[in-house]
Amino acid sequence: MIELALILCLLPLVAAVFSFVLRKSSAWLHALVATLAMLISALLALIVFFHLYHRHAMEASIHWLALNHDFMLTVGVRLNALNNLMLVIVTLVSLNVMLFSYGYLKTDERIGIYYAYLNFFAFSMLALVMSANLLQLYIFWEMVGLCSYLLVGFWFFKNEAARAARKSFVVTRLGDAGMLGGILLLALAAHSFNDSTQALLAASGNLHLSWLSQPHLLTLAMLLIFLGCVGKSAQFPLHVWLPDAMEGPTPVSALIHAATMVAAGVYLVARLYPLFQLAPGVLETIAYIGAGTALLAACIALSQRDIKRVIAYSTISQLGYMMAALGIGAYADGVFHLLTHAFFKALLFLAAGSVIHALAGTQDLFQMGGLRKKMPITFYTFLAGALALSGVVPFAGFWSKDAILSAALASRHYIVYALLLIAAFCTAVYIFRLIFLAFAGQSRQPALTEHAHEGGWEMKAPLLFLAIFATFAGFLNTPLNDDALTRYLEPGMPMSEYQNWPILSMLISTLVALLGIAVAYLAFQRWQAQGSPVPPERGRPWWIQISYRKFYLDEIYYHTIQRAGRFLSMLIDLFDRYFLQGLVRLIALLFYGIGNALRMTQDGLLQSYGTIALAALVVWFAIAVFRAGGVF
Amino acid sequence: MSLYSLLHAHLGLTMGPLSIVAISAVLVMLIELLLPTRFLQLPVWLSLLGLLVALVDAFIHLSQVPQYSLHTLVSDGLASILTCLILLLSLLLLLFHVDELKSQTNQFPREGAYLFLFATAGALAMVTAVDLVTLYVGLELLSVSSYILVAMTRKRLALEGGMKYLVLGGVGSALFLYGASFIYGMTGQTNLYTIARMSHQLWLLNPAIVVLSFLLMLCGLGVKLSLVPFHYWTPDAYEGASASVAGFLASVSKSATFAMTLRVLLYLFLGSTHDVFPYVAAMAALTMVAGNLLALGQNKLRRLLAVSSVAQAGYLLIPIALLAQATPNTWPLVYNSLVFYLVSYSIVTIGAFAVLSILEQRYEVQEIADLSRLPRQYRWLRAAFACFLLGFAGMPLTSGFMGKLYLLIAALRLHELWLGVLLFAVSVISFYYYLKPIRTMYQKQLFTDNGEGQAVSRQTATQTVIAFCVLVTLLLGVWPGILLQAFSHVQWY
Repeated sequence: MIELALILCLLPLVAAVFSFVLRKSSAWLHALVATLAMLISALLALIVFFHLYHRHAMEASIHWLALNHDFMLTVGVRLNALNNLMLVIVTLVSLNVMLFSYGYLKTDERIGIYYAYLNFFAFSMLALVMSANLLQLYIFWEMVGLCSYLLVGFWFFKNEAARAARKSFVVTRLGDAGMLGGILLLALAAHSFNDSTQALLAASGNLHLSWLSQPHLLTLAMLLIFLGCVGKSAQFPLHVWLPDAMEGPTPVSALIHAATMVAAGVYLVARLYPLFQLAPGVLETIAYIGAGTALLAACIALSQRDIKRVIAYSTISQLGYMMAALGIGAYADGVFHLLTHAFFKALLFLAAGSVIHALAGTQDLFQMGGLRKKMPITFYTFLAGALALSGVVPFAGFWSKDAILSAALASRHYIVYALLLIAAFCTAVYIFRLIFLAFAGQSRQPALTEHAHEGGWEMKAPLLFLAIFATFAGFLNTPLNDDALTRYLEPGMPMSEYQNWPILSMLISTLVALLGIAVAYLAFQRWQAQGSPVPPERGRPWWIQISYRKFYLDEIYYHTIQRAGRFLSMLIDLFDRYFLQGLVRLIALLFYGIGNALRMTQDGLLQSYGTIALAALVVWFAIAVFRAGGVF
Repeated sequence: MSLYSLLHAHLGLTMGPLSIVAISAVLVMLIELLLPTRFLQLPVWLSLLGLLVALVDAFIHLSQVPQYSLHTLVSDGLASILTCLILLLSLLLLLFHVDELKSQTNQFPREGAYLFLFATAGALAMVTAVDLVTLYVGLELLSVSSYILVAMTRKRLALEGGMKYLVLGGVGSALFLYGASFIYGMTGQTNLYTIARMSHQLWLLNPAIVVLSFLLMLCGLGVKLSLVPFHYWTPDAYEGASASVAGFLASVSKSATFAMTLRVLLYLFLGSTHDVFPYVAAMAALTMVAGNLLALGQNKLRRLLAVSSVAQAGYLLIPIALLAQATPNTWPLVYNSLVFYLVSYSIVTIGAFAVLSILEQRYEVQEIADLSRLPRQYRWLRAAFACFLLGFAGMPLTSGFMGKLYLLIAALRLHELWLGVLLFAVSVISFYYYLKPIRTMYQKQLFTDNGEGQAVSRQTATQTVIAFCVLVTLLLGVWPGILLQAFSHVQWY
């Protein structure tokens, strides 16, 4: 099994190298190689998943570097319930994205590079998921960040793309710095980077340093690690990079949002769950940050005009759900939502990509309209994704979102429940607002939408495939089948907790979702049907303006952090230029002088060489004679 | 007991590779004598065959229990690992020596082939022997063969380098022998094990004489290791010799001498009442600092590599200096870090000289500035050279970094942190002069491409050697565990 896992992880790397080396060859070849490699990887992931379904975790490591006799750095593979599930999610979503990308980018002449990055991205994520220790995980974590930087900035000649890439890299790095500190703290205390060792130590109360007792150490370390997750999974207040990351090609957005980059943060919290549980206060923090982010992002999404930005804020909001679920102790529900979300969010993005592709790059919702008849497949698959997102029975999102809501209710986290419920209402509103604006009624820009049509089969197939998942993936974990996924992820859980149907909570959330759809219908369908003109930029009511301007968070960041940073960097620059540089020059000059003086002694004469050698010997003797405690 | 069983019991393990190399050296010498002149390369190929057989033999017996035979030779961890290393290095060197023979500019006579073998046999004796006389014979066998090899091309520079090497090397041998004679005079023994057992009494008897002999032997070996200030022959010899011979001096000769130094100093002087190892530490520090500073102003590639090998010798001396604080528990640390760095450094050195031989034969590159003449299509060669230079400097992901890291860890654990810190401090300086050729290579081309340069037949063997060295350099940089894991099972002494 370990070998299979290694192969499935390395196949994308091979494809990446292939695409990179032969980057001049034709587009279909890259797509073929990438898709084939990912297809095999996905099959292998399924094999690994089902083979190890009822078994214990497997782990294999080799020694990489011995720092000390009791501190070995290792490299290894770990296959357990969570990791195997992640492998399946990542490979399946990546497979669809690989295929879809061909349709989207086949005219781009740098498609070879694109596929190389994309495959490398998938490889990094797979390796991250399989890592057996936190150091290895951190390395791949950074590689995932690097790949997203490259892909978001793929159209680097666009100014916004370059800026967005930089922003995503810098903001996530902020979190990563904290995370590295947390990992090192844990490793220092446990003498190992292996998180299962650390969890064992923590469970027995032995994870501490001489200057830090276990509860404090765990709280500090886990908060720091969570900071990394906040950055990667775009939680408040580090969520600002994700909407800007829309500047990359749309399939990349699908991959980043669904399966790879942002899922990594949630995955890490889930993976280190035993440690988080032992850290007092941290899970509570996660729950409130998650729920707050869910609501905030949903509110922002209500008024965005860019089709991709709506979905991007929706991602932030849904990640908030997952974090909140993990925070209130509903571990399996959080992971379950990660799974369903991966499918329906990939679907939404690819469908949006299909729309953008059809409209030659237009992303403004108010320019669209009436696309239902032109692009039926895109419309119906998008509808499936939207229904899943807003949580309508029986689509995938319903089961996972409702599981989180009822868990919040059951564990008496009423504030979290309320926040999430309002967010659920907003979710239904914004996604159906998008549907009514883009697909219903008449076109507002006939010139633009006249030639809109579906993409080729390579774009339709992933949409249909993902639509099936977005519709039915929820049935993996329902009361109908005894919560199979929960049981798979938490084998030790008592039966009683999951056997009743949370009817009340289901009713409430269904009602809320339908209410949201109704509000969207009333507000936008009618407006759409009247064929109203594109609304002007100015003159919005203030509450829409606040939402549209994303609660002015970007502006606040700009005026505080960025200004302060610039001032600081200016000071440092002055210091550097006039003080340090002079010092450096002086030192270099000194070294050169000594070196040249030494070189003078090399006069090429044998007799002087011999003399120097013997003189040195005499000097050594003299030292031996006069040395303190000498023997002569 | 028949002669066969005697030989098998005693010599099979301890002397197998050594005797194979020595016998093939004699055979190649005889064959060469009778061979018509048009078979230019045959002796080298025969020598290669001999080395290969010896390497296989050494490799097969790697996991055997250490043996001690005739009170002279052992096959402990140090001996068997270094035997493998030396044979491998000689093999690589001879392989790219083949291409040197073909080149018209070099005019290297084919007699070189068996001289390489004799030198290798000397090196093998130095790592397997535990008797002062045998060690000295090995040292001289290596040195004398090397003197001739350096001067073999009979160019002016080669003769000059060979001559300087001969005279200063002779001084070194004399110093070593003089030091050893004191030990013999006091104990009446030449066997290292026997002397090690009476080492404590030795110190009680007359510590002044022991210190005297220690310094004499250290300085004598210092000449061979090109420690500052006994290093003056190094740039001249490296400049005069052909690339493979210079590579030989820098890798095989240095590896063997370091192993011998470690063994001799450890066995003879450890039971000391007077701490002598600080002298080694001082010499290591002096060599590191002076070597790196000297390299700053070098403009010729050969001399740059020569002076950098002086600096590297300073790094390699660190583990031996650490013996001051080491207890038998921590000896493996000393051995591990020294041998790991030896492997890393030797491979990188051979790679660098292999690249240099191609550069010199095709483009007559001598100065660093000449590197900008390299045509654009030589990107693999350029990348390989950059890889070796970064390996020397100790860039992460190359074996050089891991080697230095292990030296630092060893210094840290044996409470001589200042040596480790100094090592990294001077490494920073070294980045400056190692990056200079890389910068020149990758600069905008000042000259238009001048095609293929000198018409030279394909240098497949050299290219193979370069590829192998790059691979090992990167492999050990990414995954040093592959070697260290093996080392942890080795019984070094």
